[in-house]
Amino acid sequence: MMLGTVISLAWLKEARIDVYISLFTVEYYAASALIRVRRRTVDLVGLTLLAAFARIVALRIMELLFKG
Amino acid sequence: MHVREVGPGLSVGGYGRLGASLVAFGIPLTLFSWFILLNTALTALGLACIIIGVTALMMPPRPVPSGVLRAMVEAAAIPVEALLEEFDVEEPAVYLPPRDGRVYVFAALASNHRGLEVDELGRVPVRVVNVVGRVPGLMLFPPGSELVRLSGLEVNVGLEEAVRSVLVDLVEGAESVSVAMEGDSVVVEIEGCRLRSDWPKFRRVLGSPAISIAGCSLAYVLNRALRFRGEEAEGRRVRGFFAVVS
Repeated sequence: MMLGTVISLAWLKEARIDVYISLFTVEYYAASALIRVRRRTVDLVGLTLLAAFARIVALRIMELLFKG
Repeated sequence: MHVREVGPGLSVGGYGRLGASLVAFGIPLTLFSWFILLNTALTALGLACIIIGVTALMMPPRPVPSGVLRAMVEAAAIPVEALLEEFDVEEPAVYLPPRDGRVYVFAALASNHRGLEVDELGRVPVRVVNVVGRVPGLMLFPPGSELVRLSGLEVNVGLEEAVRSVLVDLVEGAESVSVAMEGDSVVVEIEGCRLRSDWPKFRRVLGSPAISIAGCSLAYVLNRALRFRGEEAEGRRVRGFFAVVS
């Protein structure tokens, strides 16, 4: 699924890394909910992706607010 | 399958090896693509490798294949069935709160349970034939008990999560599980049951093996005694009924 995302976005000539990370985050959480992967520790990947996603969204909102 | 611990919560073996390879490939690819090639798509590909690799590394190892676990559960049900047959036990059993991390089952030999004290059940020595109060019965070690211990189940998890963790994730003995508790009664519904239940006495006294595993998980998590009240089977769907003994 992630490989498909990379190929699709590269084909669309998308050059913003935040777009890739946002889609990876959505895919990761969707796949986790569907497959219910067992883990021995806290979901470090999920938390990191969520933090990255939150930062991207916050920066985008700030950009919109300060532009306006 | 060889499993080697490489750190807290991380293991190498099966998916672990694949995960380590993906991380080892992903990190240099990401750094090289971002800083030298200045290529976003390849950087993202590296990140994807790291994400999948770390996820695989965090998956618990499965040293015993689930097919073997299922076979062991079924094999462990046979001597219990023989014992129940020998003593002609008819009454539904009581799943006891864990003692030393193990759930035992008390199957009364008499139909009159008056005098059966749950507190006393927790104190009687563990031997096959026991008299609790004035009630004679068998103290059995159900196959699910050791599975609950093996699964490393924590006491503070939810009921459904506990049963799913043992029955679906560890044993792969069912496709899905739902648990409902109302007052003192607990209903367990198992979909897509994969465990055989050819033992009539076992089924009548402890429930089919899948229900028995659920009973052990529930007694472990609730830390209370549960009386098995019966089950209904419809194809591969099984519904088990328990009552919390107070």
